[in-house]
Amino acid sequence: MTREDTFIQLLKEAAAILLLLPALQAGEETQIDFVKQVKPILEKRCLSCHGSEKQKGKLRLDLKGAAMEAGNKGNVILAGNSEESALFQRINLDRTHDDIMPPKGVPLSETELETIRAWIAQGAKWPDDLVLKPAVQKVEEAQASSVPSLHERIDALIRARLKGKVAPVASDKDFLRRVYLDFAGTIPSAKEAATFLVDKSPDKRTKLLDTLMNGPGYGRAMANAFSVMLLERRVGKDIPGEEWHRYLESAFEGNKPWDVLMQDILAAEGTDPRTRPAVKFYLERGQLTLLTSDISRLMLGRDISCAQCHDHPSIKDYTQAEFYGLMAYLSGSRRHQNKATKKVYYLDGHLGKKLEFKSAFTQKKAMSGPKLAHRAEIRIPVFQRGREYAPVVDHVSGMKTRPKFQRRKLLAAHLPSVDNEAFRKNAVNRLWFMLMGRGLVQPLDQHHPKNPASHPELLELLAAEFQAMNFDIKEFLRELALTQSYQRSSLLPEGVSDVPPESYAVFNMRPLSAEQLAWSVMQSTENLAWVQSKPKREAAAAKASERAKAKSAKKAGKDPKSAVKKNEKEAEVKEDPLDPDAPKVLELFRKAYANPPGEAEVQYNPSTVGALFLGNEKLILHWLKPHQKNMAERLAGLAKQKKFEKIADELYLAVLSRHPLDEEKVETVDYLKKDEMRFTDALAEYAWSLLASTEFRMNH
Amino acid sequence: MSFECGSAEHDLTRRQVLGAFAGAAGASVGLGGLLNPAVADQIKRKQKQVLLIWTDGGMSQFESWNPKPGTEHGGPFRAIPTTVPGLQLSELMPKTAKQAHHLAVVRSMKTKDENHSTGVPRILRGDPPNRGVDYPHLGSAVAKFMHPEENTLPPYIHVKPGNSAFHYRDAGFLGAKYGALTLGDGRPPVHVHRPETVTDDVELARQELRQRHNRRFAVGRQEGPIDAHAYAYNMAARLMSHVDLFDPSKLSKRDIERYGTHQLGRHLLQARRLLEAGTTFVRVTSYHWDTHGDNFNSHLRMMPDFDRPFAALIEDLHVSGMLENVLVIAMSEFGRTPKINEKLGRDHWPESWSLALAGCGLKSGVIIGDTDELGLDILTEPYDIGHLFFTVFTALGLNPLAKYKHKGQSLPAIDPNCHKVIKGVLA
Repeated sequence: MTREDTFIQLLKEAAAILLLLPALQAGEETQIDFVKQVKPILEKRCLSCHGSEKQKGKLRLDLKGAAMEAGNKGNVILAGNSEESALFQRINLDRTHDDIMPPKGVPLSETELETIRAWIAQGAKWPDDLVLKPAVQKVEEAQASSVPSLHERIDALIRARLKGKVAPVASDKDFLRRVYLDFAGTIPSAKEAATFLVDKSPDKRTKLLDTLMNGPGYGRAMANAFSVMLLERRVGKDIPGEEWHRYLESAFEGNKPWDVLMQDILAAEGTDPRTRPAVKFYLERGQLTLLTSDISRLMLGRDISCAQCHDHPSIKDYTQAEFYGLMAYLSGSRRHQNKATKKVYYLDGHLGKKLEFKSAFTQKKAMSGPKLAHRAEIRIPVFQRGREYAPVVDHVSGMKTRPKFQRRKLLAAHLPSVDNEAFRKNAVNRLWFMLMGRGLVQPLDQHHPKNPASHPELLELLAAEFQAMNFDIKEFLRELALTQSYQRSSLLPEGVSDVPPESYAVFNMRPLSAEQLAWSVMQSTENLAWVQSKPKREAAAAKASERAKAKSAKKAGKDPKSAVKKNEKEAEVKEDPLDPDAPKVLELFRKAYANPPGEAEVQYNPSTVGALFLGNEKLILHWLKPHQKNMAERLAGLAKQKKFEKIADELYLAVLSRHPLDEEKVETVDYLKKDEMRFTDALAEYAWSLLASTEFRMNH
Repeated sequence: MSFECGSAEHDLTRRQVLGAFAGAAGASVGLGGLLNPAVADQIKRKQKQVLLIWTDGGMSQFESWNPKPGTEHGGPFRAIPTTVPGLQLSELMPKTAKQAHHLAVVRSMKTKDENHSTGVPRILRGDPPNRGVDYPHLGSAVAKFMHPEENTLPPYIHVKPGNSAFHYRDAGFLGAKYGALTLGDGRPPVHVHRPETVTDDVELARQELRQRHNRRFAVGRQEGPIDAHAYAYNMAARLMSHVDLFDPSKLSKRDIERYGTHQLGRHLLQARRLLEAGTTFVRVTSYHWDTHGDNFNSHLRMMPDFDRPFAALIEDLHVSGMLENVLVIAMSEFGRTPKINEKLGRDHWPESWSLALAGCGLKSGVIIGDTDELGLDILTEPYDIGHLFFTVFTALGLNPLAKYKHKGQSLPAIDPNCHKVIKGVLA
């Protein structure tokens, strides 16, 4: 489904009965000019694969004849019937769909889609001998010829407010570590680091960025970041954390746009298997007041929680009416458990009423139906008594009736929408925060006139551009990552001791999240592959012992099945704390480094618990000893060859993703050679000191 | 985000890493505490300390510090005489009654917030209204102003039921390092024990390497996060060097018997050990005092849990001499209504409630303030939370007129409407 479709679907489901559905824009269609409007789209977006050079799927769209006859009975372009034309169908798929065309890059914009649709509908007119040529434009030419790219415009706006000296561009090693952490969720391996550092090509940064953003770690890294943002470390059991994580991961792998993701979450009831995990957002909170506050904080950047009792005493913009207007959208929803399956849902299952509220200050009373700030209140339809609910057959939730007016679906359609400025600004501010360590509006949930952005014009620009790119998170983050602000060093300019963080004159260091730390510690000590192989190893071991048991049981003349069962039980009981699987490792790190449930992770908190964990957890110390092809084992091999300088180099590459300074090299070699008899111990100690260093702890 | 501690690494000495500090290794002596070198050290240092006993939800003043037996709202319990002539306490606190000569009972608290959600932080922060910033909790404020000695435990430790964590939010705008290290159920973080494979020498060596890396990394970078990270390691080392403090086998049977094995009993005994080891501010929280229903049975059940360890603690601090420097505050976010509701409960009541203070040079055996016969109105001068903070600061020898600097703003440490001590408390 496209964005429009999703939107309309939501509206339909919620309000079709009421005929609230806005009349589709009929109007008179203007005639499409093939040469001016269609030709550029085909040349730019289609011909590199379907032209004179390549004919993927045996399709070419550069010649009229070939194009019109292509496909099954010429159904690629069915003049007069765009809906049945394969061309239109394939470009009009949901962007997360496997078959969408073009398969790479940004999907066609709404205008482009509409142009193609109308062109086919109007008869697919194409001058007979007009041959199309692929638009070959070199990247530099494209940039030179068009308006400056978004990241250049961002740079200009940041520059305009800079006073005084600016930090130099981040070195390759810093950039490398930064993009790996942000877009792969871990530091690079020693090998990856070494490869990048020797690479001499001028565009290697952009290339690395693109590789990572399209790599296997991207979905996981983003899922972790968004999970922390959306759940604020809540860990309820109704929807298992792993299901929720997989849901987010696949959303980011498919590059689900921000607005669609938020629509999914806001409309989630848990009944649709595709979006079931999204209902965790509701189930983790439960209380209506908390949900109202958090939806406002996280999706609109407005912490109106104190407006549940009264208008905000100092922020005029945060009113009690806004709070109740938003809450009225939620007031028909309840937690619901299917008695048979025990599964839990959050159903938009009650008709709900207008909400009455009274100011704790003035005692003034008022009422509100569903209403967003600065929008009209939604009229709650009046049904005949007893006709408010319609019978339904819902085997999933076990509900037998549903209200004819479902307000939460309307919220999902109204709140994450292009004309909701607060929604757009909050989105870009939170994405900016993710990469820059600070929001343009800070705190993140304090968007109001008295707390303007550090760069108001930049916030405006970002909000507009994010909308123009259809809330494409990946494309937007890519632009941010290309800015000078993102690529600045965290080293202060010479002679400067303090720089305001909101100037972005220096890269704002931020701590690694619990998840980034877990992955990075496994990566640097080269225990990652071993930990990840745990499920496979377990399965293999179970199979082997199953066979062995069955064999011995047969010998003894016993029933082999009961022997296997007993064996399974034994396997369950035995768990080696020094051989955990990845989820278990994550849990350990979260216990040590994550905030308690309900507390946003928006600033660095020194964690004594984390320091104790890293120093005294036996698993960490175990990982630093030679074992299963890990770093310690690899470097012990080099020690036998007396290659101590090489060891120092490899150690720094593995843990800090850089080569050691001369001073550091000497220090390492001295430490390791002090008593060669205890090399592995000394190596573990030195490696630990690097893991415990501030340089490792921070994304700098 | 600002951490003002300069270098947090400098006080990590060999002595500390090796855990040579006696700590409370022998702190099990209880009444014989004077023999304990740690306690003796503590007294010699004359460092002022605070113990805040927080009865969360609101202890009823009628069933504790301000009984009104035989009156319309007095409830079923009697009042009993104490060691202070003229001072009567509820019969639910017989042991405390025997220590009353060490206490200053304040019966004239009149505060502003009657909701838990806003009242708890408001009372714990004591902040001037409508400043638009998050004020630090009393513990964080004291931790900041007291400049706790080096080589002691983290300055602000919170013992409560539940999980351990670092509660940075307590610190408000002061920044995370002044937050509370929360020891769930009085237990230290699970990883406080160093594995045997890490010997003292190894620990020393690897920590020294770590500090070397950090010094190199710090050159040319902003201090904030670097200091904060160093601070976390510093605190970790301090905790590790005091591991004995958390060893239950070091407790004497007599202490266990006197304090009780229930939650608040164990937690107050742990608090005593933390104070003996030099913690600047210890908060102990007891939950479930919000008795909207069945107030009397609840207090009948819960007050002995308070009375027994509280009395034992006051007695111990007095006998060891520590009470001279330790300020004890026992309080809630408000009291409970005189009117008994239809569920035999009492509701929230900030209008006229009571608390108890002791130690740190305050007058002992005094009653401050009085309420009318029904306990509805304060007959004497009423005191707001700011007055309590002002009194606490004064007793600790801190400047109650001090100001915080925050983002260019100058903010009074204590509500300017309350710049006055509670009369008759200070000696």
